Order: sequence, then C-alpha cells, then structure tokens
Amino acid sequence: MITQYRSPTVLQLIRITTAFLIGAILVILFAAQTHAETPGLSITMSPSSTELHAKPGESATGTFTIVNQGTSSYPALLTVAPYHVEGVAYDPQFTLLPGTTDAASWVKLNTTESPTLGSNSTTTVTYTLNVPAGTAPGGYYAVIFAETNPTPNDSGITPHNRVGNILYITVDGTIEQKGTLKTPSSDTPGIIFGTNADLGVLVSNNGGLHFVTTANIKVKSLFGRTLFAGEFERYILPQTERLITTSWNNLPPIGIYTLSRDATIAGKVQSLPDRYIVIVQPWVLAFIAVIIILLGALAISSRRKKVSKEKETSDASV
Amino acid sequence: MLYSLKLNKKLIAGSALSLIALLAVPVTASALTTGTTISSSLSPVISLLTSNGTVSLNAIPSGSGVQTIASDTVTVSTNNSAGYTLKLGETTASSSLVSGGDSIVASTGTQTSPIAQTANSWGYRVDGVGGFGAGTTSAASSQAIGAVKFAAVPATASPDTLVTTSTTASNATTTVWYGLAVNTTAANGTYTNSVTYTATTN
Repeated sequence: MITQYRSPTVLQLIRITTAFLIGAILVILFAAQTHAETPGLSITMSPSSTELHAKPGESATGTFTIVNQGTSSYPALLTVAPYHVEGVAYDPQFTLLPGTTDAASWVKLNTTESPTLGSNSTTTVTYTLNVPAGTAPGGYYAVIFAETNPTPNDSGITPHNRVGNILYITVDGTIEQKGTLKTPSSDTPGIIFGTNADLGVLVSNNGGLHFVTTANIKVKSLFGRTLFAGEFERYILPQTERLITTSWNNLPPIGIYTLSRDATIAGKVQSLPDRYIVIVQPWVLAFIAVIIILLGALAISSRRKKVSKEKETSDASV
Repeated sequence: MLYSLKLNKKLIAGSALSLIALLAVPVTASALTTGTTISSSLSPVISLLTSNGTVSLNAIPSGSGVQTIASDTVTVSTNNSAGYTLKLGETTASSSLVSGGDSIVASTGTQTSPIAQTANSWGYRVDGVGGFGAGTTSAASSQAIGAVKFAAVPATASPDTLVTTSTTASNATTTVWYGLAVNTTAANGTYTNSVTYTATTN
C-alpha cells in the first residue's frame, strides 16, 4: 500500500480544482436543462373569439392581445380572413363561401406595421369594424390571424405559427332566429355491447344569425339515478347544422337506461324524445352463455341419470 | 331598603338598556352591511408553440436515393370548452423545397391517400391521422427510402386538419413528421419551404 503525502498548498489546489470542476459540470447540466426547457416559437392570442354588434353604416371597435411567451423574438404578421364552417363536424375554413359577403373586408387593423414581439412580451392591437350602409341585418363572420414570421436559418421546413380571433359579427336589425334539435344520423344504437357509447345531438340553425346553444345529454337508470350528464356550449352559425358529441366511458356491465337530450335553440329549450338503451358487456354475454351451457349439461346429466335409474328399476322388476 | 330597591331597579333598567344597546349594535351593523359580488370574466385564449425554428432535413444523397425524416412538435393550449382545431398548409404558393433555381417537388400523396416517398420529393405525415396509419414513425438520416407514407402539405387556401378536439386543452402536443427523399440527380444546395400551423377555437 502506497500512501502519498502532499503539501497543504497542493491539497488546497486539488480542492479548488475539484470544486471548480463540480461547479462547471453543474452549470453545464443546468444550461443544458434550461436549453431543453426553452420553448421554440410561441404565440398566444386573447380573445380567441369576439362578439361584435353594429348597425348598417356604423362601426364598432375591438381589441386583441398577442403574447410571445417564448424566448425568440419575431415580427408578428397580422391578417384578416373570411370564416365559415364545413360539415356537421364544423371544420373551419378561412376562405369566402361563394355567394356570401366578405366581412373580412370590413375589418381595419389600427396598425400598419407588423409588431415585433420580443421574448415574454405583449402587444395589444385595436381594430375597427366598418359595416357598409345597406348591409342586410344578420350574422357575418371573419377571423383575425396573428402569425409568427420567422426567418429560415437552415435547410428544411420553417414553420409559421398562426392563431385566430374569430369575429361573430351581428349587423343589427330585424333578424329571424330559429333552429331545431335533431337526432344525429348515426345515433346511439339501441343495444350497446361495448365499453363506451357515443352520445350526441344535432343542432340546426335555420335563421339569419348565430346563437350559442347549451346542449344537455343525460343517461339515467330506470330508477332515476343519473349515470352520465354532460353540458356543452357551442356556437351555431346560420344555415348550418352542428353535431355535438360526447363519449360515455366505462359503461355498466348490464342494464336498461334512459337517454334524454335537450338544447337551447335561439333562447328556447327543445328536447328529443327519451330513448331506452340496453347495455350488455361482452363478458356478461359470455358469462350468461357459460351458465346456460352448464345448466344444459346439468339437465342432460340429470335426465340421463333418471333414465338410467328407471332402466335399472325396470330391469330389476323383470 | 327602599333606596336599595330603587338602586337595584335603576341597575336592572340600566343593564337592560345596555343589553338592548349591545344587541342593537350588531343588528344595526348588520343592516348597514352591503353585499359584494365577485365577478370574473375570463377571455377565451389560444396559444400555439412549435419546438423548432426550422425542421432540418439534411441528407447525403446516393444513386438509389436516401430518406431523411425529422419531426416538429406542435403544442396547443386553450381554455375554450369547445376545444380547438389545428390545421397545416403551405405559407406561400410554392409547395416545393426551393434552393435558388432548383427545387424538390412535394409528394403526390394526400392526407386521405398518402404514398411511400419516391426520390426527389418531400412530404409530411401525422401518425394516426387520415390515411397515414398508426405508425410509429421514427427519425431517419440519409437512410434507404422506406415504405412510410407521406402527403404533400396542401395549399394555403385548403389546409389539412390535423387535430380537432371538443374540450379545453393544456399543452396538447401533435408530432408532425417531415420526410425528404433524394438521389444524386438533385442539385446540392440549401432547400427551404415554409408551412403554417393554424390553431382556432371551435
């Protein structure tokens, strides 16, 4: 065994070097962790939807805020586009629906430049909605986009991040508001064998203005106990139908239940007729089948024994 | 004795008055208390974050062709109870990866009918969306062209829907894969293209 003795100065140097190395490693690790946590390009918009009201020939103003919560600064590109939806799933489209008025052209952003958003900074933008005189009363729709506009710095794909503020514009006047609550075309089946059930309603707007519907979907047992309840608020645009769906998970093993559905349509509650749904889990079916087979086997065995016993008795008597 | 009784009467009357006064004070105070209603209106908010400034698709081409696959993570948060929709489309009219006068064309596949890559094309895929199949896609760098299916990033006016939800979202992530397949007929250079992720509330 060799023991090395060093002078106090050498020991002090070793301690200092060791401390420095440990410190350096910690700094490198922390920096690496910080870098890993550093978000890329971030953009936030608030509000993400706005209700605006104006009479024909008049104007309204609104504001929105853009936040850059990331560490990279970028010029934010602001644009206004038309807005409509497609299908009952309400797939948003940012193009003009043929034959409709371009409400996007009514919106003027009160800034001519693309504001540069520094890291962790916020910008508020004001805009004016100028409704042309003679515009028919009703609902009109547009979307204001705020978009990151980075400069490509490498070979590959440069993503732009765009978030929208949907404008639900009401041009005041006499507007008919009406709609209906309907059963979805692919409604919940009467007998459910799975572990989940899709429940839904179809809300249609046959009027000239959007409304917010509150749809209620409930499932109750025959004794009145609520097993599932969901409340859903959705915008319904004029001359569209919107499918509102939810999923009831972890269904009970077996039973008969009542499905009740209602929704507010243009301020009035409409209901669908209550429906009975039967739930049978596959394992319950398998269990019942096994019981039936067992009972059958037992009956056959019992009958065979009885026949055999009768035969033995008749043989003995002979 | 009489004096004592009078004194006691006074004492009792005084005490009773004091008691009434004591009881009356909180009653009066209660009557003066005004109710304050705390009201708070939360604005709907949507945010979008991507992990990459640029998704690098560097490749060292070979005669038979190589494939590079890289991903971008898109994170969306919203307090809108109806959820959000995330779309992907081209930022400009160009659908090709461009390097000066040279270009690598977009895949001929679509989101509903994506195709395996052929040399000198690029595209995107999201596992489990449209016709892409479940995946799981993994990153590759200048490897032999595989059977993983890709689609062209659609035009600005008709972006593809990547995600649609029906409830609030907190840092919901979507992994978007980009694939480049090239052979030695593609001129060397720095090829770029810009895509736009659009997030709106439902």
